[in-house]
Amino acid sequence: MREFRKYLPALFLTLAILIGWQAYVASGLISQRILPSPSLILSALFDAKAIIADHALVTFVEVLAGFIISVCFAVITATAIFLSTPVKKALYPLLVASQTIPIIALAPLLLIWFGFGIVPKIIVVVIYSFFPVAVALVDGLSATPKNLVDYMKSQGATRWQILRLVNYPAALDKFFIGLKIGAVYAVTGAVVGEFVGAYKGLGVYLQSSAYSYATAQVFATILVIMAIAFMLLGSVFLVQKLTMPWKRANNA
Amino acid sequence: MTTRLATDRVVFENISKSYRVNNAGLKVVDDISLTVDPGKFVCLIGPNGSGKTTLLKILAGIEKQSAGKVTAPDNIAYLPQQGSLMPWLTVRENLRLPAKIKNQLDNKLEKNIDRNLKQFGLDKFAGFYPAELSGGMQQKVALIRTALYTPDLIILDEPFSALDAITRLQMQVWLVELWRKLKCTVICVTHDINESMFLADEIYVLSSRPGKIIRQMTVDARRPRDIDKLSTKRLLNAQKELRELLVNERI
Ligand SMILES: Nc1ncnc2c1ncn2[C@@H]1O[C@H](COP(=O)(O)OP(=O)(O)O)[C@@H](O)[C@H]1O
Ligand SMILES: [Mg+2]
Repeated sequence: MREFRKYLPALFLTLAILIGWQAYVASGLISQRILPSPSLILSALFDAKAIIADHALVTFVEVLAGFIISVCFAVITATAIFLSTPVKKALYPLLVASQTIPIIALAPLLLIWFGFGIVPKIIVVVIYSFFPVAVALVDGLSATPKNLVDYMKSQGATRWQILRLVNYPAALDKFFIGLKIGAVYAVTGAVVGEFVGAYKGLGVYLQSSAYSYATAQVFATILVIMAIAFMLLGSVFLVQKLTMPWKRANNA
Repeated sequence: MTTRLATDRVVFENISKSYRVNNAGLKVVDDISLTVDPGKFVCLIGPNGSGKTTLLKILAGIEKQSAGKVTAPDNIAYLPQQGSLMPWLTVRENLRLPAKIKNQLDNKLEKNIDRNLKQFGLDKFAGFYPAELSGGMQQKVALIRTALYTPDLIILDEPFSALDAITRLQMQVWLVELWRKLKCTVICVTHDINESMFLADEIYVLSSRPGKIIRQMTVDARRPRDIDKLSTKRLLNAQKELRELLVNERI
């Protein structure tokens, strides 16, 4: 109940904006073709629900697959960077430099290499979401309290035991911050990938709706993209709650 | 490396330690030699930065000395300055940790944990996380963990400095009881002159950086000690001398 109360102000603000928006459009000061009213967007969503769901499924699969692959890569890379100074010196600058590559410009290349299917989109998702997760995990691992590592050493723990029993748990906080950013980037990545060229997906649907001035459909599609992002973000929050019970304890 | 022989004695022979800071050597421990007989309680006292923590880390095998030789028993328990309980483990899981590291988890240990928690009135807190306990209780859990594995040597780095005065007094009494029960050697760093007088058989005073031993003192008081009765003329003089030494070193 208290959880819910926390969100009341934001909920009220949203409601106020929606009412203002609806009233503005209803007053006739602006054409529904330029700015459709919230009610029109909802009915557009309802009318096209079958076809939107069809596209959304494709996007959802791209996002999920890409995000999972990205997190696996990030964990492996971050661990290697953390454990080995040579790897860090070789890899870290490249990682940072890779962030200056405009991914949108890369997407057409991926299209040429991998075609219009789902694979190039998954690759774009991975590229988008990998960096924040990997960097956050490196940060978290490096910030392990030294006294805890010292204690483990005094008990004769191996490097691997210290990693598993101390470094990873100590890094979880930052790791989840990275995961949340990565989750949002993953959704953006999928839609951007689809913009460049795809048979199916919310990006495709959004683009074709925009080309035919179906603005209500554009807004409806955006809503669905947001819903996917919220779902992914929500899952990350849930996993965090489940894997870090001692955080819950701290607030008690 | 710290040689861990099956001897119960702790011996530092001409131990020096330098860290590399900004590409220059920073000497923090300077030619320290001392011997601690089995079963003794020794306190190290000295100003901030005099290398006390470094010395303990060398003893615990965490840091390597630049010169000299250390001899220490095999089975040691080390409590770092900033605490050693894993925030993500419950009290019980923390108590299990040393056995987990050595792959020696068994039923006997669980029973031993239960008995110790009960004995020290912490049985209700077995499932609690460290953050849910007071500072005093946390240190108690850390010390119970050392007791559980019957070490030959306990290394303590300012174990009570974060506690309020009353809790600190209680913990000091409790630590001495624990030590007498375990019959092990204790080497304890402290800031607090009164604390060292209450706890120690022997006090070593370190100079400011680089740390050298500038005074060795035997505390001439029978056990069990009463913190209020440590005011014989001789002990008061000893306290005064320690105070003066430390004040001089601070300048
Ligand atoms: N890993 C390290 N690298 C460089 N300098 C260090 C390191 N650890 C400690 N020092 C320095 O060594 C000196 C002694 O530190 P420490 O042993 O912690 O002293 P104490 O515990 O007596 O306060 C301090 O000046 C500290 O800054
Ligand atoms: Mg210290």
